[in-house]
Amino acid sequence: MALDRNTIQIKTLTPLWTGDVKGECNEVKETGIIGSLRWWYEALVRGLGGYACDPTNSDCKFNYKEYKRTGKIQDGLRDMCDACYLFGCTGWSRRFLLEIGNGNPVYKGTLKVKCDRRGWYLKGGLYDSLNARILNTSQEDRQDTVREDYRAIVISLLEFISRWGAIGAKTQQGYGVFSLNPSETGLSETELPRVLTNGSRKRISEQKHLPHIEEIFVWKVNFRNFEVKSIPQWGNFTYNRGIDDDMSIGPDILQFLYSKYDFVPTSPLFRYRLRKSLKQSFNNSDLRHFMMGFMGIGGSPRLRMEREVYEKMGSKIHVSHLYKKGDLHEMRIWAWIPKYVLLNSNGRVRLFEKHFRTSTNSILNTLSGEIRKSAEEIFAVENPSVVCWNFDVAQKRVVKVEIPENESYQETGELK
Amino acid sequence: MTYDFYVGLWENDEDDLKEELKKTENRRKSQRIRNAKRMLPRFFETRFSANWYSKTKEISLFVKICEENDERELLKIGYDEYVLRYLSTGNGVLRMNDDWTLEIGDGSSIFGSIACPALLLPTRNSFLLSIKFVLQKPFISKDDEGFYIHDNPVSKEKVFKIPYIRASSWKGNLRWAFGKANELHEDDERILRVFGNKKGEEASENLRKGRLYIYPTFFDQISLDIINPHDRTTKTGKNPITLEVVPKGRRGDLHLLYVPFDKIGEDEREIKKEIETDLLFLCRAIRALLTEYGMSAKRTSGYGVAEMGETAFKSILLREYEKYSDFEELVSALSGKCREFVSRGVRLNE
Repeated sequence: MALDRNTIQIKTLTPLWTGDVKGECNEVKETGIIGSLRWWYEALVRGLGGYACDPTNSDCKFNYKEYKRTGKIQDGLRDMCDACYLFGCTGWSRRFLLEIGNGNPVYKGTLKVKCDRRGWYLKGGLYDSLNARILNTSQEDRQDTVREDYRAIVISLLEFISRWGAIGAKTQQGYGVFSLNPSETGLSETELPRVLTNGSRKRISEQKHLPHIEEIFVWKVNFRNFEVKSIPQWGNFTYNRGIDDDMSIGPDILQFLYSKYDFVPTSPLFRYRLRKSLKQSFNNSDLRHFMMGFMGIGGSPRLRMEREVYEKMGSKIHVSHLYKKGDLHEMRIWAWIPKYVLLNSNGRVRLFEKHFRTSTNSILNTLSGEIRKSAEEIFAVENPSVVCWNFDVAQKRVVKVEIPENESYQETGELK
Repeated sequence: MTYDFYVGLWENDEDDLKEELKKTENRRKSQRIRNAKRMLPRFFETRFSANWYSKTKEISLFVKICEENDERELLKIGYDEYVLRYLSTGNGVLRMNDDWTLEIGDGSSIFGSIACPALLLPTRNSFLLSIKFVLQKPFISKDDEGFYIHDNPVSKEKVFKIPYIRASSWKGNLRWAFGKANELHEDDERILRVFGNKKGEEASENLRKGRLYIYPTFFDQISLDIINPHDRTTKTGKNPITLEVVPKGRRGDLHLLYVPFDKIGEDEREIKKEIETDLLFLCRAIRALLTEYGMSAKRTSGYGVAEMGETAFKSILLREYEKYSDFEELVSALSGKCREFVSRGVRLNE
């Protein structure tokens, strides 16, 4: 794809994963990226007081009948949430076009990471400076069309995610961290929140259990000097070559990845330690599975929590691989710690702290402590910088979080 | 005409297929799926009808009458694997030859490039524009076929069941791109003279047929793609949606015939400017549609973008443009000529 004025560059810091119908990743699938964009956009909109539906269970649509009756676009938009307005829904196309060029595969086989008796299989993913073309697709000449620079909104959203999250699939396993070409201009930090909830249309109250930006906490771990060879003492890395041998990868896979791609696949080690820490700190398996995700328990795909049954659940804690950013080495961990939990019958919603007998602060405390300890031990660095960030809804920007003292939950049910 | 009337399940085939599915009856689900992926594509290829489309109909028929949910699911998995293993590789469907003719399995050649000597053009001031392109991203367009193994078959030509872009799709998209690329309002007279009236204006007095005739574009392979929306509460995929697509890298032809029937008998020097302008605007529209916006459903997700290749232009009145086989050179030459018009006071963009 040739560079033109509509093209920006996305530089992958850890491999990007977008799965295809065979479960592989040989090229970038824009639908996967747009799905991530939408997830973050919804979290921002909800946090700022707007309304964003769950697109897998939504009745948002463009009310064509009303539009025909009055001739005003705004009347047709009444049954649509803020997220569907940008990303599209029945009768309303997406307001922007996204096309991303293909990257190069990192490796063609599978990397097996073992820690204690646990093992994880990491496939390669894609890595490169990807050209992303973003266009407005709305018709500027139509009357009554709400005119926004949708391209600027999408770029601002990408900038936000590049600083605090990741895109694509398998982000909980380290994939998808990226940076943007710094010369790109989206909307400023103050303009983006205004635009996100501009004239909120539809309002339905029950979205408390869906991701809100103020419930998302991001830890950034930074340090300078580091030796790759310190890592194997915490994990056993084996490269299982696929059908297409990549002969350039020798036995020292970690050094190869660090030298060629500026990242080290440490996410499984951290995830293992975080899961263990949650297990030790809270005598509550349900909480651990809820936060770290699960496929099934004892061969069953369901988890029973207080007589409620949950299906397979994705991890709410996402841990990136270690990557180089300029002179620094960095990794980021972002966690969605919800205030409310959807119980699986009749849409009942319950407070997280009442349901799991613990508080957000306790979890923050546990995670912060374990992240610092793991970073010191796994990377063999002294006193790494570990800072926790959170989106302050009142100030409408991301601020540092001072982790409060640990709280205990007593049998009376009251938090102390 | 459809193939549904000729599709039936022989008892032997039905028994054999059930036998195949029963082989892993008491095994774990993952093993049953593995077996379906390994055995069923070969079974479909060797046992059912020779014609690939009839084969898919027979599989669809079997899925519809199948009582067990597990068996239905395994058949769909087997079908997907059959598409990926046989139809995506170009075996069993069609072949696109080097001269861009399409060849069906029995070797007969159809739907080749339109070879049209200039003398056979309808009028002196007509032109034929043919552009070859190669898909950079997959193409999706939903078929109106109701009886199919899954919900999103790619559009196929009615008789031979070859994946194609309908001429009506081309026309609608070109009309939109014509206005967008040339910054024209949708009611502009230039759009009207090239494409005719908008839909819904049948009752209008100002009825007018367009000058442009558009041909469908045929492809030679199908493949599969998948979209997996995630539930916001569990952050897991709920119901993956399988889509039949024409995969990237496939070649296609766009053929357009322009016949200014309403200018027959008029002074050729006068109408030549109008025709050159229309040709330039059309070229800009084609370039924008294929390379920027994409010619496909889900184009906001990047589908349908193509790279333009060799161009053929035939005309009597505009013979000087026949020498250009490169699209950009043709556009450049036209732009230069139209700049002359502008400098002489002929306004193009009103």
